[in-house]
Amino acid sequence: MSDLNLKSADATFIHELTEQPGGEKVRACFTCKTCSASCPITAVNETFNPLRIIRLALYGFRDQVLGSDFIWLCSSCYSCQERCPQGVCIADFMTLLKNMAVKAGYAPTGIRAQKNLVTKDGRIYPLDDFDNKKRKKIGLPQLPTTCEVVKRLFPEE
Amino acid sequence: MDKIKNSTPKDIPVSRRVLILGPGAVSVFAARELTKMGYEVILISPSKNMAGNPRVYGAEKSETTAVAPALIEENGDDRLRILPSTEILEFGGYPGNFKIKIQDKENRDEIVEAGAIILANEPFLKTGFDNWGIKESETVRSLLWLESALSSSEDCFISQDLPLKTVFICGFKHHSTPFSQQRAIKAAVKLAKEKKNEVLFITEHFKVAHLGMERLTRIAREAGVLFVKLSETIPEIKNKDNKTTVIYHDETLDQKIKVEPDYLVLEEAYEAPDGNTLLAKRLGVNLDTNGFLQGDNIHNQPIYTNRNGIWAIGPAKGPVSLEEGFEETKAAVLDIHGLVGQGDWVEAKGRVIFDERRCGECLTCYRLCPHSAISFEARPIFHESACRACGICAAGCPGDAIQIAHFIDDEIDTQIEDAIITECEQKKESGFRVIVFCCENSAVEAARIAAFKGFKLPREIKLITVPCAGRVDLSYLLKAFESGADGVAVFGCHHESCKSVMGNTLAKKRVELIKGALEEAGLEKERLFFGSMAPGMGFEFEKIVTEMENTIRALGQSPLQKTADR
Amino acid sequence: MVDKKTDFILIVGGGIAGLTTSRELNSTGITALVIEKSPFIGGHAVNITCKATDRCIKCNDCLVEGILRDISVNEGLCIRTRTTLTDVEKIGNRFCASFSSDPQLIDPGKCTNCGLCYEKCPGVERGAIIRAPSPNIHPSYAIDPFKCDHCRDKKNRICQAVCPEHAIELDGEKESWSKEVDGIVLATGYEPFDPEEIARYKYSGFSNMITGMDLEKTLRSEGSIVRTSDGVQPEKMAFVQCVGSRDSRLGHEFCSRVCCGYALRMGLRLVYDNPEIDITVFYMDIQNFGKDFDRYFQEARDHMRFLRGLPGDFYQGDNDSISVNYYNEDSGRTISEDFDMVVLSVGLMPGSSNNFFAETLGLNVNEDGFLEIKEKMRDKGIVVAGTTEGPMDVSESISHAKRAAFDMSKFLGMVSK
Ligand SMILES: Cc1cc2nc3c(=O)[nH]c(=O)nc-3n(C[C@H](O)[C@H](O)[C@H](O)COP(=O)(O)OP(=O)(O)OC[C@H]3O[C@@H](n4cnc5c(N)ncnc54)[C@H](O)[C@@H]3O)c2cc1C
Ligand code: SF4
Ligand code: SF4
Repeated sequence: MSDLNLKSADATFIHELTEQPGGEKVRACFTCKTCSASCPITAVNETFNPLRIIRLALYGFRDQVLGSDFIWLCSSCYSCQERCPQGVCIADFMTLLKNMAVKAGYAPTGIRAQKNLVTKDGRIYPLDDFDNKKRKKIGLPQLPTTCEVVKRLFPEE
Repeated sequence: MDKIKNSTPKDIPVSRRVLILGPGAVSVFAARELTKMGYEVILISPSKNMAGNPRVYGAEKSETTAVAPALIEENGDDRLRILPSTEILEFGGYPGNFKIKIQDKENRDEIVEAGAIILANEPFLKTGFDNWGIKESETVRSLLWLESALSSSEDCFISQDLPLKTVFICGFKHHSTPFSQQRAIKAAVKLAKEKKNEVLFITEHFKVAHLGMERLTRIAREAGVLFVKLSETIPEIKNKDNKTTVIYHDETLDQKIKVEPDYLVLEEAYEAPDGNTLLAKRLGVNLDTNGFLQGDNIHNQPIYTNRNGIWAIGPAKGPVSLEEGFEETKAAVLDIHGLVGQGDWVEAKGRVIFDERRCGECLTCYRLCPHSAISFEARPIFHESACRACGICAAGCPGDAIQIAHFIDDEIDTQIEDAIITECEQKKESGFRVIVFCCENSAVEAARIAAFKGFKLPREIKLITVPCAGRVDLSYLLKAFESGADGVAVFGCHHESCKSVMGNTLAKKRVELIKGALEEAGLEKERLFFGSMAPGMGFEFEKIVTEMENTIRALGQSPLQKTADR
Repeated sequence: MVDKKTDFILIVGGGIAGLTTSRELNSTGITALVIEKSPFIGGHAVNITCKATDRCIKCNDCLVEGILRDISVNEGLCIRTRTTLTDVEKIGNRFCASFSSDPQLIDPGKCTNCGLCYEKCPGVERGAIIRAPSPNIHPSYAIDPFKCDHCRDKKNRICQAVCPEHAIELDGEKESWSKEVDGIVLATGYEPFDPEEIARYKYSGFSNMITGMDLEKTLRSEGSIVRTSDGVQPEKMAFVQCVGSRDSRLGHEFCSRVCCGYALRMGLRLVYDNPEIDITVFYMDIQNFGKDFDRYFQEARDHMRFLRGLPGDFYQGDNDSISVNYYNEDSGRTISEDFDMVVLSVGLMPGSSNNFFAETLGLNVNEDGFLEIKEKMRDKGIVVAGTTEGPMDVSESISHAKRAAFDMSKFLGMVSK
């Protein structure tokens, strides 16, 4: 990675974060590394590292945080949050970042496609007539193939 | 030894005056406690300022100013003399009766008497610019400058447009302390909270081993101070045309980070006062590796020096908090009360026995005594209050004019003979014999601990207790071999741990000397050796003894013994 | 016990702080009674080991022995072991303290520490007679009535029969008594952190995971360390710092001050004993502790591996080793590394009696749970000594205790004119 210049950092980012649920306690981090050490994803993938994300966020590197795909690797297993001696809600923080990333238009294609599916069908796995046919065969009730209620949860883009 | 006489007086009148070396809140506090108890106090300081610098303790000004001026005001009290800009020129006398020549700035000198001395002078705060090869400028500042700027009304930390960036650097070129970090962090919090600055705090370690510091670092983080800890690298500082750049390697990100702060603040180093080297020499007090007035010897813990009657407390020993300084003051005052509180000192135990007829007035004892307990007026005078009865003088005296009670030469000789001859004869034993001279402060303790743990000392090995390894005379070693010992050893304290500063070193030297003589006489030099150990190390004792046993067993009987047998 | 009319001070806790206070008070001419709840005086400090290598590294262990020696030759001191304070009442200017004492069983006035009882007792293995950690503790032996056959079912009295001094009396009863005192010194010390409180260490799950205190005790009594599982000397060890300290989630927002010092010094000691040993220290920040610490830190860095950051989880590795998960800077990943032994550098936690004192004597407990004595209480004759007030090392406990003695004698009007 190239050198980072704090000039390009955005000091307002951290204020935004601490004001939202999940970000309140992130400043308490004292870099003990317990979170990274207990993260199952960090064990298999060197791009994901909860402490690194926290640090980048604290520095105010908004784009690096929201734009990178590593926040999407978090499996929300809460291993880190459970162990953090400072009570930082790390997993919740990841959720917050994911939400912010989507808002900022940074969601990766896969996630965006999933979102479209949910908006359209109310499900990530779309149901079609074939599924209902199979259900009928084994005596299960029929399910609607679209879900209008869910659509209403998402504002028009 | 019929006409030997005890040269120590029975009751020593002592002075109930205490000399305190400042400056600083702790020295002032000590003066106040002592005067309240009815002692006379002379409080001196090489600097003009008696109140010292509260920053030394990481304290705010307001916290200490309460102590110092109040006392300086109380100066009307005739029991207290406060002498700023005064230095110690010469130093003599003995615990209970020190004579100190002091000199003020106008070169007026005076000899004062004091029963005890308290050293409580403060470290000085050395700015870090030189260490980093930069100069103080509008953008590069010391923590001291920042603190005073923050408490003044003029505001140089708020800018109209963007928030200012401040970078703190603590440590790297010197050892950071909890007290300097406490100050730096408090200032950082002020900048972040009140002045809405962006604050970056770069350090090696959080120094949290002090009350409230862990909490303070959290409060600072929550206030928005961003901490960066570096373990492998140090930050790079560039300063050109009043523009500062700091580049460092962020370890959590594994990336170089560049920042161009509006202010760069460097923490000060807490260093021993310049005058300490000279002062230590004059007082006969050892310095530690950092130049503070308490040698790195465990026997000096917590508040002592290598000299009886001189206490080193709080700031004189290195950076401390104010509370610790006050605590140690009370501890020292309690001791002093025990030493000079009654106005006389009756502890004359007659530990040194001096035979005037044998004295050649060679001054050896005077020169050797590590406790400065001997003065010389045609003949040596032994001062009980300073003496720690180590017997280094006795071992050095070429005329054997000095004896230490309970460790008289004759008694030791008898012990040597008993160990080798009498016991062997009584038990009709043959085999080898080893004599070990054991320092009371280390080896004797280690042996006790080993025995307690179940170690059985081989019967061939005999221990003879000496007050200090430095008491072991050349003649003891020779006598042991002459009497037929197959091996001889001296066990003393580890390097820098001798209660008498150099007893172990002297013993080691003597052992080397006799080794040479042994070789000339045709004996293996392995038959003699010096072992050092800590008093708590029963296992080390066991190990060394076993090694020695094996060595001597392998060497077999001493050729001298065979002659003696015949 | 004779009740003296003047100046009698109660010292609760016979650790290094309590003993120092009593020694100092005694030399000022004030009589003090030390009560100690365990069978031996000395507190935690008598379990710490001398860590000298080929030189003294100033761990303060010998200061402890020095105090114990002073105590053992000082006949004016009054010490009651196996005793706890059950209540205190204020009566005028004085206090009436109530105590509960378990039977002493060995009479300190008669015992010569010959050790015959210890040698002959058939129940030593299970701890019927225990030996003090130091020969400077008198008596050096104590009978545990709960493990002693005789005390349990009135069987044989071997020790009683074998003791040449007739110092053993096995029929003692628990006793409740009280005494009026002029002042109280609280010196009940600290508790080492119990790692069971943090689940991820799985402390009781690994035979080869020990605490710093365990290592101190073992080095002190055995001189070297072997793995509990197989009795083999470890070749690869890890120290984990800040266990129980600096943890705001547990409410321990303080640094225990001594753990960096003891871990590094023990590490140096282990390296000296076995230069081949491979030691890793997981740490957050290193705290200077004691004189000349920087030198030891530098030396430790030359001989041990320092990894910044605390480990995550611990798993059973091959051959009873412990697999430690930690974040590895070089690979950017969390990795597992096997260690023969893991030492948890446990911190100094507030003593369990602090709340009792706070309630009965109307004192303050600070945010961290340590006792806080305000000037006001000092003027009423209550002072605190040693780690009861917060984490400190032995040397500091000693000067803190001397300060307590000073305050107390001042309260009694002994030192001021
Ligand atoms: C693992 C470890 C290693 C350490 N290593 C070192 C080291 O190398 N060097 C160093 O200087 N320091 C070291 N320390 C610190 C050292 O142990 C303490 O500084 C010292 O023991 C403090 O002594 P104390 O008297 O204040 O407390 P304690 O030792 O805790 O003594 C308190 C005493 O009071 C008794 N007591 C408690 N409650 C009651 C009650 N209600 N009634 C009657 N009696 C009671 C206890 O039984 C105990 O005997 C270490 C600490 C730990 C945990
Ligand atoms: S566990 Fe908590 S304090 Fe430690 S590095 Fe992670 S977030 Fe920071
Ligand atoms: S002394 Fe060291 S190990 Fe102990 S709590 Fe403090 S930083 Fe952690």
